[in-house]
Amino acid sequence: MAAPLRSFTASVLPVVGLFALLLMSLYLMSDATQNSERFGRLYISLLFFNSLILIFLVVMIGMNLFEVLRQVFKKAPGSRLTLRLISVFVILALVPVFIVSFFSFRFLDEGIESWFDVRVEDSLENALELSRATLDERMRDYRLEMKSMTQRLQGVSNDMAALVLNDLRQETKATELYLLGDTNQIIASSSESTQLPVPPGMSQSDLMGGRASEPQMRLEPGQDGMMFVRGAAYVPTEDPTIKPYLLLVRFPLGKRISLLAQSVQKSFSEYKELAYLRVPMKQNFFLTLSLVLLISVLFAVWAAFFSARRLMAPIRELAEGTRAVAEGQYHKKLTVGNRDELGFLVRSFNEMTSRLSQAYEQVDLSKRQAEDQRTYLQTVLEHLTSGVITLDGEGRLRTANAEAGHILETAQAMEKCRGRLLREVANELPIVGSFYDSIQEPLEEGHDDWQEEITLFGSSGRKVLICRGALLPGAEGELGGSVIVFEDVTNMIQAQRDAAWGEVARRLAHEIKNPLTPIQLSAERLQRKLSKQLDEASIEILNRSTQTIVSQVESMKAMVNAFSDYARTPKMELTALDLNRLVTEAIDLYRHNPERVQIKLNIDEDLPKIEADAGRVRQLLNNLIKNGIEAVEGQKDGRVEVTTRSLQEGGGRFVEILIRDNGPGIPDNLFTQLFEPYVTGKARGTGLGLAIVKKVVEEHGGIIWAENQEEGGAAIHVRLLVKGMKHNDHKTEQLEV
Amino acid sequence: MIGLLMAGPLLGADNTRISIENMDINLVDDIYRIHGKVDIELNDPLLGALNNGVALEFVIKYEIAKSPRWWIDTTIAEVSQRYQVSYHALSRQYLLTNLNTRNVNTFNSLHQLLESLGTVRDFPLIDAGLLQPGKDYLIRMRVYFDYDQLPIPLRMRAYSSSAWRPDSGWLVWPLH
Repeated sequence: MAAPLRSFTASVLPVVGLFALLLMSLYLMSDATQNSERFGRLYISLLFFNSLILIFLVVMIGMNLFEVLRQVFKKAPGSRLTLRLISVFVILALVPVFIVSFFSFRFLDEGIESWFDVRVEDSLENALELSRATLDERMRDYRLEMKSMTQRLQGVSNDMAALVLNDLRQETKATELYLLGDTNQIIASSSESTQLPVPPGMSQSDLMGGRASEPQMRLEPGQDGMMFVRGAAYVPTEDPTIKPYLLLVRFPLGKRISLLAQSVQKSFSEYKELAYLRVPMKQNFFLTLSLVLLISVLFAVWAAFFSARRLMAPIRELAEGTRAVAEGQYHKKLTVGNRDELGFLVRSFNEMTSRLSQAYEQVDLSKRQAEDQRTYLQTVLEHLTSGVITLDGEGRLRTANAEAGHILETAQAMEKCRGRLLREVANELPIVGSFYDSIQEPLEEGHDDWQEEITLFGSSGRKVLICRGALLPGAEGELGGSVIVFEDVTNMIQAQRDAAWGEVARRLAHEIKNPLTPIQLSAERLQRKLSKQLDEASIEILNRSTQTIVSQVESMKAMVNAFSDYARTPKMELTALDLNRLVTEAIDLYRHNPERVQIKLNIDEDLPKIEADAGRVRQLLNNLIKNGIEAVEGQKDGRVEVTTRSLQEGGGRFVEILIRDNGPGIPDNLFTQLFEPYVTGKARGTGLGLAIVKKVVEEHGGIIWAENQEEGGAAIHVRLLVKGMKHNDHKTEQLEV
Repeated sequence: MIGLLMAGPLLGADNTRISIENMDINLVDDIYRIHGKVDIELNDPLLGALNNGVALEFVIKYEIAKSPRWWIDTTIAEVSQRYQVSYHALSRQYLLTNLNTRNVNTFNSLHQLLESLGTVRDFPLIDAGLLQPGKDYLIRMRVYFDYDQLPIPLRMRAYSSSAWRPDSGWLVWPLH
């Protein structure tokens, strides 16, 4: 509270002091204008002082105005309101001042004019004339006395003159008599006063008047307010050569008459002076009044500036504060001034900003926490070995982690596809299309928590994905979308299967193969031992049975060996193979088959070479051709057709081997496990033929599927990659594993 | 007798209404006396004021100073004669009052009054005994209208217009 108090005293007290000083000087000046003795001499200095204040005020106002206009120009907060407030204050101050000043000037003018009246002037003139007439009459009497005096003095000698003058003074009302010679020397004198007679203040006019024959009379004001009449007359001398003497006489006027005459003179003179001074006096009054008004107005204007700026200070600060808050400076605090409504406003503002800043910090904190959470989740997602994709309620791709892009082989494209409908993306990227087709059903039906196993044909071959989906919680009244988590389990499944079949093969070898040799040996021993003791017929039976056992054991051994072959996974020796040549060689082996099955070969001459293990591909071809021949066994027109071709499909390049027969086709119950080991539709066979084919195809990253042709018979498609080319295949879902 | 050495003004009077015509300074009975004529003509504004009952005051001022050294001179004596000129309407006379002596002289015409006012007759300036022999002195004389004695409304005019401020300016004579 100390600082505002200090600023208050620093700003208001000098203003009040100055105003008081101003009022005092104006009062003194108006007093001085009234011709007051006391301040008369001060008037000019007061005028000067007030003019200085005037200039000071003008400078102050100019500076203030300049400052305010500069603020307005700069568009400083609150400046326009300040200007408006100042305008209002100034108008409020000026209007009454101008009204008052208008009437003041009018009254002043009329008031001063009303002092002077023609009738008063006339009557004063008349009074003066009356006085003159009265005095003239008195002077006429004195003139007569002067005449008789000159007659008495004629012929009087210089020595006697003093006596005569004395007599004359006694006889008449004269108080002083002088007789002057031709050179103005005093010949004789007589005076009422006891003091030595003083020579009268002689002037040329006295003598000039005295030259006339008649005595010259003149009214003269005395020092003490008394009036007297001075007369001058020539006294002729006996001797004509001598100039006449001059008689000067002073007659008193009665005290009463003197006073009255002086009074009239004084009144007349003062009135005349006043009338003469009327115009400059009016000008003076106007000047003083103008100065007073001007200073009042300027002071009011200055006060307007001062108070407007004081009033606006908190508002300006508020405006600046608001702007700061709008710009995001939530920590803005304003200094609290008065305890009035503006102070309340400022306090409220401070409270608001502190709450805002708290809220902002809270939000910031939450945001940071959410960000941390997000980063955490992101990190977790990025390091998952599962692909994770989230979709919004309308099926737009929201997020996809790196692994998702990796599995779907669209790492870069996935980033760009964010925010687009997955359906659209599926149209552009075939592998995503396959993926979307597989999960479309649970997605569109809005299943919560579903699981699918799907197979894709990617650039590295077949892919088996375990795909799980769940609905995401959505905001109120909105679909939440869904999250899809999928995992590439191709290798795992393969490993599991290999392990399982390896185990089967091992057991077969162990459990079946081991007793076979003793069985065979026992049978041969039985034949050897018993053949000597049996008759011819029995020997025949024995030999035939033994032969059957041995051959069956051999057959079983062969079967066990086949299982061993299946279980064994020797290292692949990849070389560039001409598939056409292998196919031709394989078919040549079966060209002269005992069943007389017709084998037809369609070769694509432009078939590219593939990277493959020649032995295995040969085995694959043998198995398939053998399988085809066995399918049409016993038919009259059994026919097997082998076709090779090169295909460019879904951006991938591969070769296809198609083996078709005109047999009975694949029974429906076998379809689902056609390529599983030990599944066969034939009376003979190990059931491993197609399983090995599939294994070889999978080892080469290829794909195999079987179908029944419309015209009858089965068709088996084998597609193998042309190395270095990417592959996608829409038909992979047809594959039944 | 120490005669007048300078007839012309050292410092010129810019106002033609009052001019010091010629002055003689004589040493009579060990007293320096000044004798001469001052030409005073009243201009319209002052004449108007006088005829309308305003009293006018004229001052004849003398100063005796040591000769200046380094531009500064020291005034050692100062004499002022103050006169008031007024019009007496009742008697139609002009009055010349010596405010120093309160002596009143009456004139039929203003011309006679101004003649009388402008005539300096053996005015005693300073006793020669007060001056140090062998040193140089200056005598200054100035005749002016004292507008400070005007009524306030007219004084304002006097401040604003030189027509209201007739002044002979200082005239300086060296005194050996």
